[in-house]
Amino acid sequence: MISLSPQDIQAIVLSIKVATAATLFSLPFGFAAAYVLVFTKMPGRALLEGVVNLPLVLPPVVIGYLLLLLFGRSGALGPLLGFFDLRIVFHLKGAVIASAVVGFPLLVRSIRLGMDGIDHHYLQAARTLGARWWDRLYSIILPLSGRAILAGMTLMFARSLGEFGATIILAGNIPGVTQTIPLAIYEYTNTPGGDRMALSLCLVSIALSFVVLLVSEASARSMKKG
Amino acid sequence: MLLQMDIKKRFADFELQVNCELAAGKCGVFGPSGSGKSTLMHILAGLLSPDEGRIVLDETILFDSDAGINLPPQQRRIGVVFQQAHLFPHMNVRGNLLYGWQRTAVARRQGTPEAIIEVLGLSPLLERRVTSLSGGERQRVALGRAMLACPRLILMDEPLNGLDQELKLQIIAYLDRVLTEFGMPLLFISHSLQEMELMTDEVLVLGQGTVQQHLNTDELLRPEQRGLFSNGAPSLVACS
Repeated sequence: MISLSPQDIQAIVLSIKVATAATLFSLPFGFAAAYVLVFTKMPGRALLEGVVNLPLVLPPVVIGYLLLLLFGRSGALGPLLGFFDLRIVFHLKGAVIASAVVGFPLLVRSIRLGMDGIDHHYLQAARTLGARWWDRLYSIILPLSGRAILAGMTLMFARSLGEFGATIILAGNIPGVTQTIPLAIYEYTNTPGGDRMALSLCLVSIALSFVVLLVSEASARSMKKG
Repeated sequence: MLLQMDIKKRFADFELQVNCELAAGKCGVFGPSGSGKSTLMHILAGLLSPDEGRIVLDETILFDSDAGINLPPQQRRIGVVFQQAHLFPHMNVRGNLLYGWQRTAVARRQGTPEAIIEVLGLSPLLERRVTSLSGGERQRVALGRAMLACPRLILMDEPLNGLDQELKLQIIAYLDRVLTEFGMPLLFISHSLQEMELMTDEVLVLGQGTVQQHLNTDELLRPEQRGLFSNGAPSLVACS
């Protein structure tokens, strides 16, 4: 039987909040990065590709530490954040940024796959019919990569739900503030007698992942029909 | 229509060099595969830039390497019917047909969608998904889509390839009807003598990237010319 404490419910809500915010925040950047990689010949594409994919191969803890160096009080962006009175470290924003950075390559790769599959003749035809680049983006590229965008968002959301390493370094493990499901499970496993609670959260995590996959499948099917 | 071209385009293993004027309302570019027909079509549509030269359609300079002018396809107002139609798969027939029309300034619009849809016999297909259309239907929709962008010139790049003889004649009849009714100039690209005969009044014969002959369609069809082409490109006579 699943039993959840108020703290667990807080962790579940926070996980959903963080994953949603990270996915939505990353989406325009992910779409833009995929567009640049697929449809432009600008110099520095190889470098951009490397930077985008780097979080995929780096250990999340390393990413978290690098983010800490960047956003910490004495980090590269510390003075700027201080000027605007923004706090990232040990804050919900930190958890969102950590999830966004770790999941970003999955989002871009998925959208890119979809864009790669668009027959360039459609774009040529659209040009001869009077469509400018932003018009082609809106009327051809966006709808034809819709399923890939959705798949990328799903992957990223699911990855964010499970994000642990970068989050614990950048945002810490503060109940009610930055403690997401994986961090709560981690805490239970270090607490005597916490196994049952950890298992309950594991089951919730599995259920959430299933719901995400079902929603994604249903949306993809309706897009295909429509 | 007056189309003046003096262009050069080099590739690693091929060079296209065309210098000519086309004035008839229905012109053809004729030649075997690999003669540069499709390259010329892409250059005229603005989808490929020549290395040097000049292209002028009526009063409009489409390309001039000396003056640094190269109008993008979306500003050339040249409609293209591709060999494979390339209908937008996420739109139904109506969406495809109206794509160019919706992007044409109201002042430049000619005719009405209803009239072109009627002439091309597309009314029963409007709500159909383009993926469910037959080859002939797809080409009729592609033609309607190009015409509804109200272009100054329609380019057709071997649009009847892959269709059976009966369907070809059916499409040609539609094409003839719609061009006559709306008075739109046509540049028809093909390697079929029969299609040249049915669709054009003036023909540019391309071979190995250069203009071999520039003549009236009647002249192209004379027995001595037919013999010439059958020697150079045996596949040409198969369609005639």
